[in-house]
This record gives sequence, structure tokens and C-alpha cells, in this order.
Amino acid sequence: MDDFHTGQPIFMQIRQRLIEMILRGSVGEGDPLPSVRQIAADMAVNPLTVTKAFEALVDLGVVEKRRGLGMYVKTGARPALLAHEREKFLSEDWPRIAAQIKALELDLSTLLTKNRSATPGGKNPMTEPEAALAPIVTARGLRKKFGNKEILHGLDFDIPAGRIYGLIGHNGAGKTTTLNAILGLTNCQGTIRVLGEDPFARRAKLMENVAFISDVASLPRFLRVRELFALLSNIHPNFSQDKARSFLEGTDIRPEAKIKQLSKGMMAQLHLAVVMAIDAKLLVLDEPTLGLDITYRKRFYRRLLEDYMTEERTLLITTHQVDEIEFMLSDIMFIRDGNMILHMQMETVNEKFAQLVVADEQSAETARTLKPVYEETRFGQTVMIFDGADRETLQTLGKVSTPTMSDLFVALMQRPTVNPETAK
Amino acid sequence: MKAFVALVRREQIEHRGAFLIAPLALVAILFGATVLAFTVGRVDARFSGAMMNLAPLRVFAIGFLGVGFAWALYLIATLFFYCADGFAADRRNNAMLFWKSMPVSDLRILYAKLAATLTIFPATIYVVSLLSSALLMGVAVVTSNISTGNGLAMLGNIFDIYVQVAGSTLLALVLGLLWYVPYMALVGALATVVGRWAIPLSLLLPSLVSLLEWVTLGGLSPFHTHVWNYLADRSDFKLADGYLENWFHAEGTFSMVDFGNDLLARTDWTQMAIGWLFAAVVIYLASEYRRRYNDN
Repeated sequence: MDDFHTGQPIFMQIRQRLIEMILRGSVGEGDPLPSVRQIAADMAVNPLTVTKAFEALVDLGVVEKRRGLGMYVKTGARPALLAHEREKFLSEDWPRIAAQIKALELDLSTLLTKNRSATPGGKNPMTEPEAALAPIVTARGLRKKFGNKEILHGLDFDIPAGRIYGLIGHNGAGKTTTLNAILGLTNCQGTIRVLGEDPFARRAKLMENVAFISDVASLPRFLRVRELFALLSNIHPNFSQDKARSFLEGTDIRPEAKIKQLSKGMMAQLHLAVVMAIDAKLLVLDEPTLGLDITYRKRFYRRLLEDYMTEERTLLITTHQVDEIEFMLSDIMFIRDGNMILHMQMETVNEKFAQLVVADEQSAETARTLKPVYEETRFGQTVMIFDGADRETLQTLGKVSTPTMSDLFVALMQRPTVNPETAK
Repeated sequence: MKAFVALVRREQIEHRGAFLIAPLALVAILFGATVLAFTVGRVDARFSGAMMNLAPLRVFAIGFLGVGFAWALYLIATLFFYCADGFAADRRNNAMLFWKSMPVSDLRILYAKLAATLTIFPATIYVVSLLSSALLMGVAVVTSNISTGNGLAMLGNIFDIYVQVAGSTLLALVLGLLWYVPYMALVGALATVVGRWAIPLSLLLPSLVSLLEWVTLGGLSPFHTHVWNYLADRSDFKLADGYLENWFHAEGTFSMVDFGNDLLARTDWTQMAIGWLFAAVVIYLASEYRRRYNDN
């Protein structure tokens, strides 16, 4: 595999490289981009990951898909990307760099001298320390009882920095209890550390670096938008009123609007603007788009990915609409009846699991000897999901593809633990 | 400190209806009604003005004290309902988890609510009471002037009385609030746990404790126990005794200094300190409950 760092999902790193290619002029406006297959082979990554990177560029409006031809750089892509990247640098990177320069008491002449003597083309030394960062969340033997009923049965997991995690499970599986334990909203047995702190004992302190949306209707309805921002500026040390206002630009939400008069979709936009305006290291979203229509849901996640995610931030999402967030996840955790039954990087999931569709009974019988983890009949065809089966063998029996997250979820929720080793 | 002040401000915004808009509306209505009463002849300006000239300064002092007392009753009622409702408001508003996503502890949030009951809410009502008295003074001066032509001449003396009563009301308000802190804290703590049921529960609780003492330790009746006697004594602020009572039955102008000295001397500071300690403990216990139960 190419030298990707662990601080950011791979598809975002590929997206960034494609952006750099366009900015450097390696690919001109109107030119075709390398194919998905070519990039996947060159970088030794899954084609789905490359597709995700392309989709992100299409969403940015700088690349277009020409049916049967491939992906092309749109006219005006370079200035648009330049403006986008400049804005991103000035609003996200520069304040941090400037603060560091100030803290190190570096002056302009030292910086310029260093810049002149720097070797061009050298690797960014920042990536290694970043990769060595401790996990954002660590849980060991996490248990929770309500009365005599045990809800969590000793969960063990780590969540590293810069990842986008999906926590998926049935109703009552223990997702919200796990999130509550991470957020310090409930006391559990076992050990849990978030940013090195015990969340239940130090919730108030922890919330300086953790933001969460648990319910889009939980904003204080008696306030106006302007009043909410003013209060948060004083209550939260990492909340930026200017950022929140900028996130609301282009929406119908006005500063004078009363929150109780906003529609559910607008309230979700406002809540997202509030959490994105908090400079947090961990963002936890528990069913953030529940009850929203498809337009708002898509907009919500696109905004989150484009305007918020950086390599310093970690995102943890639970939702029942798994297919809608699949494109942005870097890791997945399946929880069933209080047990972690799957905990993997998406790359591994794509490599490990395969879906086979067979039309005739004889092929199906042969396929069954390969021990599928799940089988069902759809429109007269047999659909099977395999864990770790050889794809080439499967291809002789029928059509092979990577299962969607919802198919995998349905499959794995009906059998014992898939990979207890990796779930630890 | 900035966050704490913002939390108090949040309470002010949430409850501005009861503590700002309603009192101002009430003042506007009463003032409008007074002006209308004179305009349509329901009250004779010459007669009422003449009444005020019989013992002008005393009439004004009693009037100002009456206005202050009326607003004190309003404040007691609204603070009681605020404590029973406001301490559970985050849960009722479905906003509990939003405030828990902020870097402020549950203890701090509850203390901010208690601080609001002791500062911004009473201060607002006090300012409104001053405004009411000022309007009353204006009406009285105008009617006196119509009746005898002396109204404006008395203005200086009336203003002096206004200041004396305003200062005394402020001191009584501050001491009264400090005296009743444990009651407010208890109602607020109960509301944190049981929501609006704190209203009947806070009234029922003393009777239940007293009943328990009567059943277990004996006594003439549930209303003649140590608990009942203590609570009856602790509930009495004794504002009307001492200087105020004497002033009503004697001649002389109202003195803020004499009133203040008397009230301060008659205040049971030990009981006040015990009350504050009790308030701190019950609010802490309520915050621990709130920390563990996040139900929206």
C-alpha cells in the first residue's frame, strides 16, 4: 500500500492528492483524471475507496463524470479549488500554525531563512508524531447494568485520532449506552478513557474538547439564534461565534429567528453549525438526522465531511441509516446485545467480506460448501455473504461484489461473533 | 466566572416573562387604570389630593411600603414557582443533553439557577417596584397640586421618603432572600428530581416529617412537634416586628437607618448560616442526581 498516514481516512488523502494534482497543473481543466482502477492499482487500495475520493471531488463541483468515459476536471476547477484550499488553510491551519509560531517565539526572519534552506520535496515531518498519537477513546471491560439486566458485557475497543467511526446496532443493542459512557453521561464498570480522562468524573472538563449531538430537538427552544451564540461564546471556551454564523450563511436561519419556530431540518442545521463551531477533538453524533428528510440528511453529512473533518478530529456516528454514512466511514463497529461483534477498518471489511449472487441451485449448493455467513433469496436468486472466502473461487459460481453495510449488518446480526480477535 | 454569569443570563432569558414582561405589564395596567380613574371622575383628584395633605409624608411612606410589600408578595410567588419549574426546565424543554454537551458541571448549572433566584430576578422586581412607587409619587404629587397647590412644594420631602423606603426595602429584600435560601434550594432540589411535583411535595414534606416525629416520638398533635415548631419559627422572617410596628403606632418620619439597624439586630445569623449550609448540601445532592440521570 502507498505511504498513507493513519491520521485521516484514506479516501480523504487520495482526494487531497488529486486536488494537489489539479492545483500543480499536472492535470489541466477539461483533462481526464486517471481511472479508478489505475489509481487503485497504483496505490494498492480498494477501488471503492478511490470512488469515494472521486465522489468527494464531484460534490466539490471540480470534477464531472462523463458516462462511459471516466472522470474529467471541470472548467474553472483550478481557481475554485485554489479558493477552497486557501480558505481552508486560513480558517483551519493558519490559526494553529500562528499560535505555534507565537508560542515558540519565532520571528519572521528566522522563518524565512528556514524556508529558504528547507529541502524541497521532503516528507512532512508532522505526520509521524501525529500517527503516534494515543487513541482518543480507550475502553477495557466496559460493563453497564440497569437493575439486574446487563446492557454492556465488557466491551474492549480503541478509537484512534482522525478516524470516522460508525457504531451500528439494533435498537437496544447498547449503542447509546456506549456513547453515554464515552460522553460521561453514565457511570460504567470497567475502564474508559477519553482524551486520557475519565469521562464520568471529568465530564465538564472533557466537553471542552468533545462535542456531541444526541438529539436534534435538544436545542434550547426559548432562545433566539443570536442569543444562543452569545451565550455559548461565554460558556464554551472553544466555541467560535463567527464560525457558527459562517456555517449558517446560505441557509434560511436568521440570527433573530426563535429556535422554537425553526423546522426540524433547520434545527438540525443549526445544531450542526453549533457543534462545527466548537474546536473539538471528538465529535459524537447519536442518530443526528433522525426524522429528517433525505435532502437534509445528505446535506448534513456532506457539510460535516467537507467543513469539519480534519486529521486532528475524530467522528463517531450511530445511525440506523447505515447506507447513507457508509461512504464517509473509515472504521465500523457492530454491536449486538451489548457485545462488540465486529470492529474493523472499512478497507479490511471490503477485502474480507464478499457477496455472491447465484442464479442456479447447483452453484448455490457448491457455494454453501464454502460456508457463507448469511444466505437469503431475492427475486428467485440466492444471495450469500462470505467472510474471508477467496473471491476468484466465488467468481466461478456467480456475480461477486462487496456487500453494502446494511447487507453486512443484517448478515452479521444473525450469527455469533465474526472476529472476536479484531473486536478487541 | 464568565460561564457562570452566562448561565444566570440564560435563566433570565428563559424566565423573562414572569420576571420582566409580566411585572412591567402589570405596572402599565395599574398606571393606566389610575390615570383613567381620574380622567373619568371615578376618583376625585381634589379630594384625594386633599387627603394626602392631611399627613402627607406619612401617607407617602405607607404608600411606598405598601407597594414594596405587594411586589414582595409577587416575588415570593414567582420565585416559588420558578424554583419548582426552572430547576427541572432543561428536562422539560428536552434540552438536558444539549446543556450536558457544554463544559459546565451539573453542580454549576444548579448553583447558577439558585444564584438567579437571589440576584437577577429579585433585582428586576425591585427595580419595577421602584418604578411603581415613582409613578405613585407622580400621581400623588399631581393630585395634591390640583387640590391645594402644594404638591410641587412637597416634592423634596416626598423624594426623601421615597429614598428612605427604597433603601429599607432593598435591605429587607436582601436579608429576606438570604433568610429563605434553604427553602428555595429545597424546592429547586426537589424539582430537579421530581419536576413540577415539587410544588405539592414541598408543601407536603414538612407535614410528613412532622407526622413522622409525632408517630415515633409522640406529642400533642402533628402540629405540635419539634420539627413543626422549628419550621414555623424558621419560616418567620419577623419583618413587621420591631421598628416597623412601632413606627406604625407612633408619630415621626420613616428612617431607613433606624429600620436597618433594627432589622440587622433582630436577624438570627446562626440560623441563616445553617440555612445556607443546608442549601449548599441539597443543591449538591440534586446535582449528583442530575449527573446520573440524563432523561430529557
